[in-house]
Amino acid sequence: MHERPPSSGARARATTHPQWEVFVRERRDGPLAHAGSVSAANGEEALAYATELFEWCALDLWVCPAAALERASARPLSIRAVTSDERDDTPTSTARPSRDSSEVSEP
Amino acid sequence: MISISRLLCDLDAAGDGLRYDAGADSSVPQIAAEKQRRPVVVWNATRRCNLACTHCYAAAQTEPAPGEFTTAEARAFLEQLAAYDVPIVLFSGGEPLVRGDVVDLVAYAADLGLRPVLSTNGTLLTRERAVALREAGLEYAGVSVDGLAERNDAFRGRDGAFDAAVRGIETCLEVGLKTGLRYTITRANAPDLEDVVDLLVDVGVDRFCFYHLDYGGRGRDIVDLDLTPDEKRAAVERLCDLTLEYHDRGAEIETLLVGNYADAGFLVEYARERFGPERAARVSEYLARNGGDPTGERIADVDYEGNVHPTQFWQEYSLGNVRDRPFGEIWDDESNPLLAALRTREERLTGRCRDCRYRPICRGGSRLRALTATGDLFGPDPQCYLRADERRGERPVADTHVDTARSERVRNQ
Repeated sequence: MHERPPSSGARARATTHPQWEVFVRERRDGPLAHAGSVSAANGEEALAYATELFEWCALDLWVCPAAALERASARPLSIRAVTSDERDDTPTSTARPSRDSSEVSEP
Repeated sequence: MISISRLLCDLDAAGDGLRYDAGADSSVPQIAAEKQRRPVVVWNATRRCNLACTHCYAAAQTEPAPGEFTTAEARAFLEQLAAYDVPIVLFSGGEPLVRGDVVDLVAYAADLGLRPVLSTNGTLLTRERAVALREAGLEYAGVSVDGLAERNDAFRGRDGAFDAAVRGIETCLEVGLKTGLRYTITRANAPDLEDVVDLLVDVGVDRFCFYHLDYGGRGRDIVDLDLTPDEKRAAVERLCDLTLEYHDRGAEIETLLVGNYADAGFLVEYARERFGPERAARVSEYLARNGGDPTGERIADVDYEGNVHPTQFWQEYSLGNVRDRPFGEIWDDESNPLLAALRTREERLTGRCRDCRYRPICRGGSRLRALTATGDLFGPDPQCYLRADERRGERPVADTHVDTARSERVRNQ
């Protein structure tokens, strides 16, 4: 990567921001491969932070909102049937959560 | 973690097998050899906390956060860790004791062969809870105390937090649950260091974990509160002195350093200065086994939503999510260039780290701190406090040709 986005000084903060999936191409003839995710307030900051992390190896760098991706897996985190005893202790909703944490309020 | 008490005082402790491959030399039960190759996993079981600490790397909050594992998901996650032969799962947060199912999950982890330990602010450790945790198989509870009452409570955002934490520690001791005290040093609480060590001895705790500030979560917002490198050096030196003083008086406290591997080079220098080259050689040998900063290798973090991080302090970057892919697959996937680079970082380091003779036992310190302070992932850790003559000294790091056993016998005569 040779060009830095203008907002490279604006950093993601903790996990109070939405997540952005990061995709990196390392070789001209290589695939654009998933390389984890960053948390950032917006796409510009996400790209800036991802650039700091991957500029030493990336030819191309994309970010997209994690919440915008639909996912399917042959081996997701398996969920057993929740017994009534467990349900009493269950701390949060059993719904598959959005990976977008923008709704999380600031502490 | 670097154990001052092991390196300078030969204190035998349960973690030495993990830290120094020293299980064979130990009389204390150690982690099985095959598990020593796997990372210790910090699990932020919840983001909720009853306190609001200034330096919280997890940016914890008092309200529930969406996305927290259900009990069933948490059990499935622990099964993933067990399937990967993870040696230790550290229940952290937030404050893990706000989860109503934490005792059940500790028991489940223990049943799976994971060694469950706890990081807590101590304020919710009632006698009933402590007994339940011990009976569930909890092996250790580390309680955070960042100074004496006034400074601790200011840092933790609640009056009475210090007294409640000390009560929690005492409760653990009363019910026979091994406990220790963790202290993160900043400019705000540095004057309390000695008093905190004295406090733990007075209370009867024998384990003290000294944390350097890392620049993740809310820690990023208080970089200005971090000590200067020279102040860090003085604090670590004082802790080494205190450890020796207490051991000389017969109080065999275990003292550990976390979060700044400049400490590794410093301990070799300290051992050489205080005990001579033979001890320095032994310290260096142990630290070589320890392998330097553990980020992305010997420590992993999984947050309350299931995101896997290279260390608990690096919450802004995730390698993947255990809801999408099992933990072991994420951790083994070196097609991720950042993970692969962290594991080969020694050859990528720049600046003063490039030709530092302590690079093999430090490995550049905190990559997160370097990135945050300089924007350069492979740049020097701004909190390295080793002097230029120490980093580039002409004498060897340690003279490995010395007959250390013979020299120790001579010293002990």
